Amino acid sequence: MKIKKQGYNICFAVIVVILALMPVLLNAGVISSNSFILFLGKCIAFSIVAIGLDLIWGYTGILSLGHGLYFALGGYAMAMFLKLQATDGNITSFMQTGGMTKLPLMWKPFLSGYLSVILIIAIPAVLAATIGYFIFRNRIKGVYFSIISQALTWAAYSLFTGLQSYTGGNVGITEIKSIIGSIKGDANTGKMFILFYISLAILVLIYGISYFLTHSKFGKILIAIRDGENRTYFSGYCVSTYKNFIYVLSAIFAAVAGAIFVNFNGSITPTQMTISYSITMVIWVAVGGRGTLVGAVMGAFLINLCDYHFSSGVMVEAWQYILGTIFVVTILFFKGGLVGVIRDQLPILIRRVAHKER
Amino acid sequence: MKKKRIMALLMSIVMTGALVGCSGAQAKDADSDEASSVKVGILYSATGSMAISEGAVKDAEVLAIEEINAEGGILGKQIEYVAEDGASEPSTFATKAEKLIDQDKVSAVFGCWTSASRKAVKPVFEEYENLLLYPVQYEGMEESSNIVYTGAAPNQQIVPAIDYLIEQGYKKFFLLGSDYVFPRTANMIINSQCEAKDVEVVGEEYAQMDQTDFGSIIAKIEAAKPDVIINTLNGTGNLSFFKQMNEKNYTSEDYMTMSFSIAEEEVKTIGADILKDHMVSWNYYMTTDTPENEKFVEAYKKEYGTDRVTSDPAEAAYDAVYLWKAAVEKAESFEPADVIAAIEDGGISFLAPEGIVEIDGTNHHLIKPVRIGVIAEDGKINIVKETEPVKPDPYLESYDWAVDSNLKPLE
Repeated sequence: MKIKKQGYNICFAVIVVILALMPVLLNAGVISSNSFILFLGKCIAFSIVAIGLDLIWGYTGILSLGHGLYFALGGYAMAMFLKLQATDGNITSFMQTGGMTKLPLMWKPFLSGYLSVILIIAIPAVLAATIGYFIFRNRIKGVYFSIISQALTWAAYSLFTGLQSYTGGNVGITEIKSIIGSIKGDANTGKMFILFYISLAILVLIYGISYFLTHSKFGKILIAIRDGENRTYFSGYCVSTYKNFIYVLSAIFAAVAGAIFVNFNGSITPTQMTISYSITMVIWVAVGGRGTLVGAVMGAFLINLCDYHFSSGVMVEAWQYILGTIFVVTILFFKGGLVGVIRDQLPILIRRVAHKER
Repeated sequence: MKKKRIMALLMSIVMTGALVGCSGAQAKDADSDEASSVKVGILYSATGSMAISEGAVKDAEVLAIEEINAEGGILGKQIEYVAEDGASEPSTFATKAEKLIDQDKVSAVFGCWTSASRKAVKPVFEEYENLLLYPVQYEGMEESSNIVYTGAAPNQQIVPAIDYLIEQGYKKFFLLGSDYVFPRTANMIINSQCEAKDVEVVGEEYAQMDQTDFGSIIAKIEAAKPDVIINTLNGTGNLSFFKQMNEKNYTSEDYMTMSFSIAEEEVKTIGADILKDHMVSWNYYMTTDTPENEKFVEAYKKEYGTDRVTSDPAEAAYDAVYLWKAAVEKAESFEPADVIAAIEDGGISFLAPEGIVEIDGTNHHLIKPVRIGVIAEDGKINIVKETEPVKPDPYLESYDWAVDSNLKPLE
């Protein structure tokens, strides 16, 4: 049992080491461009939100189809700070188009870097805690929770596109540099790697927190909630508090991921909080493998890498079908996802082949 | 124990394989860059909600590239294009633009349709000092030395259309648009223009991007009693709006409309019988009577099927490729910086299907004619007014009313 858990950790360590070796690979010419590293930076952000989703879905059995909301909230908070850095605290052009002459009140806190960092975490945390408090206390679960999470995301999306003079409408907040300045182009390779390593460190930290939580008594209770919610209630645990805590935590992870994403992406748009985007996040976790943490990371990397590479040439339209098929097949036949296939199905296959050869 | 180790090993191999395999593939791409060809990027949505509109534009560009290649290419080199999918998602556009520039090392990118995607890729092109040729009419208020805008600026579509309506004696305007940046900015311009010319705006309404029920908006229009509706709806909104107006038996005689996002392609989907006698404003229609257009329409239909129609954005995209060719030939170099310098030097022109177009070196927009059209029953758009080529003015600085109302954004 212990070694099996170590297997996941070894696997995660391998991923981290490969990512950490990117500068070497770039110098050696294995990777031809900086833009690929920037893309991997976005993948790190995606894998962080995937870990958050794995915590609530894989471990606790709450399927949220609206994590794009928290991802985007973190992203917007970061983008607002970075945009004000770019404009020196002046109003943006979309505010002017909206007829404003002064910086609106809701933008003022983002003039300060420290306050922005706090808000990146605090806004989604407070929102998730409030929503979670009412939902979980009223014992709303299963598909009803999923529907509510979708509806909330949709409402937020409408709000953000509607408040054009505050949020930039459906264009979002664009033309921003990263927190340490421009990271694009050959001249800024150094800065890009600093940002890349910061993000990687955050990923490791978040994996560490999640690993610690899921392997403590707390994690056992989460699994107990997933496998038998009523029994857990009867055992004397306050299930709703546990659920709410893990929901808030995953919202915070999503927001942190959003903030990292903005740094690499250079813009944030309301598309990041659409339902379809949120469901894509769930697909990463499902394909990678639920309830293993590393599965979420693998899924996020794998699907995004495929997206990145199959989007030109003949594969463009085919890829959408392939992705759909992978998702359906995973749900129907391979509940453990990629990790499950490697952990359960592959060894059996190897044994059979080896047996025959003998 | 052994099994577990194998498991860990296998997992690692899969991950490494995925990462290295992918990057290996890129390295190969970069090497295959032959000396006899030059790479350009084509960046539109092949999937998602914008795929149909953007596909038509992409087709026009591929057609132009093939024509140029058949005639010997540019500076003796064949054009090789790398098409990427923006998936109707601005962030994906930014990622893919970066990939095209940094990894595929393209000399220029033809791409983007929505303002959201253009604004998302703009900083990418600026930071990498590459060149984007953007083929769609848009709301203006933007200028970048790394973008050439081959569609209309507001003073080449919106402003002359409003002037035309005022000339025709229309006095009560109703502004209807989808809720995003183009309609919002267009209506901001129209509002100040109407104010300056003493024309009344009796209402301004915005529909959600995917709204299908226009009942309440139609009720507001009925209450406001405008002579003309200025329509900046986009996408499926147009279909629902005109269908519902038609269900109430309203024709152009009851409520005339002037649309900025309805071209031949949209007329086909909405139905010419419904749109009969309504007005539109563009720079080009399929019916434009020039020998170049005859050739263009024929080539487009031959390549993609006789049921296909050409439209303003497709034509602007077609022009973009030829204008880039002209700029490269003037610069005698494929380097974006040299090409931009040649563009800014001025005098890059092309005898396009819409008539002669020239890049204004000062603001990277095109000098092009404006045409007001009326939709006929057979789906064609007949030109009722045609101007001489108009100089582009994205910030409307040459219009006193626009300067007075302080439309130009802070930079």
